[in-house]
Amino acid sequence: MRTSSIKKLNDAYGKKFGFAMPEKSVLSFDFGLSKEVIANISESKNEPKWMRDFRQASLQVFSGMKMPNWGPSLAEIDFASIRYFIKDTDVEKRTWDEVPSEIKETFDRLGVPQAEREFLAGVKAQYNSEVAYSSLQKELDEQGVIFCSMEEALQKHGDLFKEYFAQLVPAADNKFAALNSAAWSGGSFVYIPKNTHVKRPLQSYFRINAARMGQFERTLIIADEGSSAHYVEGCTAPVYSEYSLHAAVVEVFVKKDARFRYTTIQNWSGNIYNLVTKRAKVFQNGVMEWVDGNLGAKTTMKYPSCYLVESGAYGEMLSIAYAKNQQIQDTGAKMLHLAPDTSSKIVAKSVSIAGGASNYRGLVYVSKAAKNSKSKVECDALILDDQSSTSTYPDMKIAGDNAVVEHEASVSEIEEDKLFYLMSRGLDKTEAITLLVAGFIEPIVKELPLEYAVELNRLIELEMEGSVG
Amino acid sequence: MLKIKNLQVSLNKKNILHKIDLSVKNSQTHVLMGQNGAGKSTLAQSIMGNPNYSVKGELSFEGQNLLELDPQQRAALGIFLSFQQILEIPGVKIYDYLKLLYKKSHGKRLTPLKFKEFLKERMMLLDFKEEFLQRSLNHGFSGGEKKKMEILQMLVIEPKLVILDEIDSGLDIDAIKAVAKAVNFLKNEKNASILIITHYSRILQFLNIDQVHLLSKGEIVKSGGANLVEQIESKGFSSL
Amino acid sequence: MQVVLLEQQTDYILEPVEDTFYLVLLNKSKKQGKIKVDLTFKKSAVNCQLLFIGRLSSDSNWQLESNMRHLASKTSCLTDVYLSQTDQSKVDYFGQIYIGQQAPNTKSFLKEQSLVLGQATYNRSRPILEIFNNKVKASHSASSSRLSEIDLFYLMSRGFNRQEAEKILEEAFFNKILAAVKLPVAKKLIKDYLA
Repeated sequence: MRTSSIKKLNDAYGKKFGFAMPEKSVLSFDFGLSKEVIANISESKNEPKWMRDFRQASLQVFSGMKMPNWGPSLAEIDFASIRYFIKDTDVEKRTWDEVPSEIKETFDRLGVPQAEREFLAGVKAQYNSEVAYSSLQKELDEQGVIFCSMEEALQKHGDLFKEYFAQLVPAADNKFAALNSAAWSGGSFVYIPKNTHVKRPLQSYFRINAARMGQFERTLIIADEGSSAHYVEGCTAPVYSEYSLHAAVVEVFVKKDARFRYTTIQNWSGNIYNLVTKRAKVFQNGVMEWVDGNLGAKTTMKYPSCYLVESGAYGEMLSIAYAKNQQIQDTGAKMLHLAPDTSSKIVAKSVSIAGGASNYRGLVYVSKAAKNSKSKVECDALILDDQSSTSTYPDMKIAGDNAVVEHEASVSEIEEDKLFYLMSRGLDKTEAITLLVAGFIEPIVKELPLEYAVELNRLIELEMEGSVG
Repeated sequence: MLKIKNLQVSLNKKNILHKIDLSVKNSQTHVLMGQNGAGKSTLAQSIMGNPNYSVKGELSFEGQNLLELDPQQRAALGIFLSFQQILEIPGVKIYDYLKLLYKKSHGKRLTPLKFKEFLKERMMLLDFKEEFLQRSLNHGFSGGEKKKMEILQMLVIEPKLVILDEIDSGLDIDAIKAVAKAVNFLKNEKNASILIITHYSRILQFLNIDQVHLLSKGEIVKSGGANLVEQIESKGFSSL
Repeated sequence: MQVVLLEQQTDYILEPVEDTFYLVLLNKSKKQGKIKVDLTFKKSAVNCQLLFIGRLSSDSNWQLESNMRHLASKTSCLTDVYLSQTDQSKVDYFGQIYIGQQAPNTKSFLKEQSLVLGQATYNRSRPILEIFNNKVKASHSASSSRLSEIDLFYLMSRGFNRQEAEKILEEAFFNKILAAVKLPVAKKLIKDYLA
């Protein structure tokens, strides 16, 4: 029963990139969740007592919680078949020759450097990026910025860590947050001191490590008063992972007058359930921007939120969802206006093609306390064939005085006259559609760091070649 | 080169063109005039293969039956139509788009440096500033800028047959001169044939015209030399 | 196009077979109300409009729902919800557009606008699109806004007091939809309601 379900999950990926999971199980122990497994994680990380207790308590919460009763089906997830902790030394050794030519070609087209390719294809367990890393690290050290793994932060900056950890996303928030709280491993810890401006995007210099961070990564970010920074995670190249579930938690604290942008590009392989809880708490006149691109995974459920808790706070979400081959991209945003003069903006664009389903699910809440607040939501969906679908589920609850809330959503196909115009200039149908799709998502793509934008456009081109008839 | 015989065109089951005969030879310039609603744009769109029109009769280019070809294949043969209604395509960056057009029409790529030079020369003809290359295709353009952007695309593609559908309407005299200069450049350098659709004579004084046709109610009612333009100018469309 | 006034029931389940304009005028004297309109398009090439109009008084509480299900090709529907709300009124609106795979060349649009005249009100709005076809045009928009202070100031500078100015702007709000209604019968019903 278990193997057949795992195999089924891998089929989509096998079809697309020619990868298949090895039939022999390399994961021969530590399946399923138990107090012992969780204790082993704590032990291997040499954690303080409070974290050990937190994990065990979260495990209790997880066992007692029901699966979400809304949104895409998660029935295929079998918690007992998941291995909750894998050390780098356990990563299976594959050789480059075993990587199928299709995926090598994808890397070629995307211009991914060889060292990164080996890592992405699961040939190498670690990507050596120390050179770039150390030059950035030096800069950060001089500014007093802390940027390290969560494990390191827990050991070296225990008090700061404890003050913020799980304060925004408690274990009981949802079943997958509880799971993450019990089994988390990997992820980044970032602290930006007061009035410090970090110029270079954090992470872009060793983005590959982020792509491989694991299934229950946990990120905690504190942007102290008056500071600013940009954090980038993920990568556009397809990332093969043998885990079938990715349940991350991200917490961001944006203090008074601080400004923080969090950019994610996700292109997990087609066997993955990507269920992520991302939340930011924004204080007086703070600015939080989420930029989120979802291209891969079997099912994505992700609704980054901003809790606008003090006056003048601003939250923004820019997202692209690209759903193909029976993928479900169920994404959106939540903006909670809890203080006067707060404002928010959501711009969500989606493309559904070849049987893909993209859904926007969002909440705008303006509390009684949030006088003079403003929110604007724009959802644009492009649907390319009659096998695909798109849905929009916004919810607006408005209690505050003098609130202005706007929501707009539209669904469109590729316009025939634009297609004719471009084809009359000599472009073939696929090229014309690719150009129009790229034009459609451009307003979001231009917000991405340059190398991501270039890769994303190349990737869309590549995807279109196979999908448009 | 372009041969049209007994062409009938309808849109949503309504006949627009009844019986059109027209041939354009190598490096000739023809003018098609007529009142609004005479069917001028319908003819242009039909030659280019707009799928909304149903077309019967004979339509060929260099001996190839165009009716069997989709718009892209017609473009590949070297036909170019400058649209009367020019679409805005937000998000499509002009530089990337023109680079793609060049690759498609010339079957090769230029180095970025050479391509920039190539564009610069052509943009100068049209008095376009280089900043335009970073903008979205026709997005937020004025009427005149859109028309010039059509001509710039023409200069990048370097087609054999150019159909200009009311390229001159809404242009000031400087812009008209620039467009004429671009058309003459293509004609002289590349031996292109031109079919100009217009209801004004203004642009015609800057071009060497071989033949003029007058279209009325879906038929060509009169053809002649350049002097026909003067007759139309002085007497109006209806008297002819 | 025929005009049908929906006024007695709270629950309408309809399958239009000819072009129809459905009009719902929310009872001004009611403190509490609930109206649900389901339109299922099973016959091809049927075009409909559904218009909710309401001037909601203080403390009134309304639940409104519209469900457009397009199951046949070439159908179209225009749903409009125009509400003005005074102090402490509450509206919960749920509006869905569903376009099935079997319904190509469908157009369906939904627009909800509420104008808040008083101080505190509570609104909830859930406009939903579910589209399973690419040959469609569909959109929804919802906005909740207040009278613009600049407009009020302009009118008050011309000698109107605040209430009068508010009334003029409320009329202007409804005039927008009135201008869009072409059918004389419907136009008259709306005018009488607003008077």
